[in-house]
Amino acid sequence: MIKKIIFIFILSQFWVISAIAATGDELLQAETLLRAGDPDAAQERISELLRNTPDDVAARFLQARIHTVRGETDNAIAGYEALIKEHPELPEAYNNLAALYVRRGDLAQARLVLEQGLQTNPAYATLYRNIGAVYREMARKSYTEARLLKGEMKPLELQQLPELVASPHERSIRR
Amino acid sequence: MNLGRAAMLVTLSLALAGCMAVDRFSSPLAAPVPASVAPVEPSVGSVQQIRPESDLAGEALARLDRRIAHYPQDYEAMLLKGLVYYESRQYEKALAALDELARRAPGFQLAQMIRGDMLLSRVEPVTGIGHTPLLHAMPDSRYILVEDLRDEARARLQAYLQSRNGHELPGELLRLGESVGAAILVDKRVNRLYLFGNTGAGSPPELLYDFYVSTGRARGDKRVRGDLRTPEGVYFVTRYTPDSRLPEKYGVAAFPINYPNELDRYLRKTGGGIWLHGITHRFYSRPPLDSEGCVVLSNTDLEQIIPLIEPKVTPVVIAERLEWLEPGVWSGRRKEIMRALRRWQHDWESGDAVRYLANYAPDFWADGYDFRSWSAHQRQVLAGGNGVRVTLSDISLLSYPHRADSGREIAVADFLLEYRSGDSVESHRKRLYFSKNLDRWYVLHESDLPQDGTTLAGSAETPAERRLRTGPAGG
Repeated sequence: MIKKIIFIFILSQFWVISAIAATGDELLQAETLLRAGDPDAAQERISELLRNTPDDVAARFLQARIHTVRGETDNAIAGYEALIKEHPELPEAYNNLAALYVRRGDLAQARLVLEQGLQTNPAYATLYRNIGAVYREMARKSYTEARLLKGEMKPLELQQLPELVASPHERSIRR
Repeated sequence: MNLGRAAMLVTLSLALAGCMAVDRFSSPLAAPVPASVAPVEPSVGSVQQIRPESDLAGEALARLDRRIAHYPQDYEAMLLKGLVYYESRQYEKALAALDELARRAPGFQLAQMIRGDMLLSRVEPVTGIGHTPLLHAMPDSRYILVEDLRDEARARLQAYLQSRNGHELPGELLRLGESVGAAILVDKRVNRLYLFGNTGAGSPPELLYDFYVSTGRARGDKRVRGDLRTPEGVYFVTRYTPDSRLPEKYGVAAFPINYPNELDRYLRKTGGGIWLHGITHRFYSRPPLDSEGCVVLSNTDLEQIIPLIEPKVTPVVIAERLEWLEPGVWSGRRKEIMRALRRWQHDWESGDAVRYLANYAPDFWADGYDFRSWSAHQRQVLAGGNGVRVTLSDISLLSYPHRADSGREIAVADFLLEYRSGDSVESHRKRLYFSKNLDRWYVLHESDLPQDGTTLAGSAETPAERRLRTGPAGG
């Protein structure tokens, strides 16, 4: 009886491990496809993966990235927002969400999101660079309103992060 | 002067005035942390929270909140709140205040610039208002715009730092007649307009509004046409021209004043067209010294006081520096000039020409008269009369601002005069200029104001006779 329980336990562990392995594998494939410039194929792969493991943090992050590349900004924003709500410790998600707000012209919201992101990891260089760019752009807009600077400027684009690096979640899954 | 506010904002005003070497940690808009690291709002119990300034900041904020409660569109008070938050290191609140202000008054260029400075101070060294790398990169020809805004900031801040305790009274405004709802005082040195409400006989006027204004591009008292100076003296609003009948650049209203007044004309000052007016609707305010002599208000502020300004009634006293007096000193001065007016009245009623003429200054003038011809004329009139009663009502007393050019003190009495002689009753407005010499006030100039002159039934006099008796009409 005890042996049987142990066996089932081990089996269940194996299942979990293999599921994670499979996830990692499919995730890698989807990432590779996205990087190779085939977001549609990446989307197919990630949809499949999310059907099996809808709570996979790295998969959800990649899904938001694919939405972004496919120009589905609303979906991407909703994806990052949901991810941050459940996992408020992911600086990369804050960073990319802020980049999308900037793309929409909502600098104030981008600033808030980046300030929040920096609270999760105060030493994240990309977030610093981006928040600096947002403050500068906001200041430039204000100076333009003050009729000190001329209005024409190419729109600000923040650097986005391709994957979760600093997140402990992501590391545990990759391990 | 409130020392609390002074101490707290002293670094700010000094840095603005360029009176001290600018140091990032004491200058108004320097982030207290290395550039590229965004300062975070101090947490409870941090060093900043127990700085002694925090109580002063609280007091200053409460005071500014009271200003906003009194006048919800007091955008200057909102800007000051942002600066007080900034000085007390509450950066998020400072930015939130400026965001709100930029939303509500997008044309307030100074607020927009300071908002830009505050934003940049999170990531770059900012050494003062308008002193940011982004603005320093501008060509000199455009950087003057920054300097104009910095001048405006300096004017607004200095006025705030030097603002009154509330119990001091303006030495120029000693009494307002019952028919006069309000009076305007302008201090050119601090670029400020004060509107005082009449609180009734005997009680001191009450400060209702206190606004930033732009004045003439050239400093000093106006003398000649085109000198770009704002005149100093006691004036009255002559007309009201609403927005609909004004060129766009004058904003929501214009109120011309009677420059050159009686004294100005006597002193052979020239020019005209001195107005209180608003500004183009594109902007909220203008630099401190920016007009050709007019007193320029923001449209938002001007709109507040349009209903309180009455043509031919509202006095406008313009000074390089207004004099603020303790209530005891103020009422002493008021009584002194009131006594001079009463003595003039009673000596006239006495019918004694020597007594009456002793009220007049040797350099007295009126329209068509000097002291000699006036004396001869009055002796003749008084000799022919028998028993006059003179009643003064609706008395306003306005003191001339102290002037560098003429050492003498001058005050203006504006009142309704009722003159009874036998069956004849006559009433009209009169204006006397008093001048002080060796502790006594003398009538320097006298004129009747034609616009309010009315002759009541019962008067048997011809206009020529009346003119002979009451003196010439002027105005």
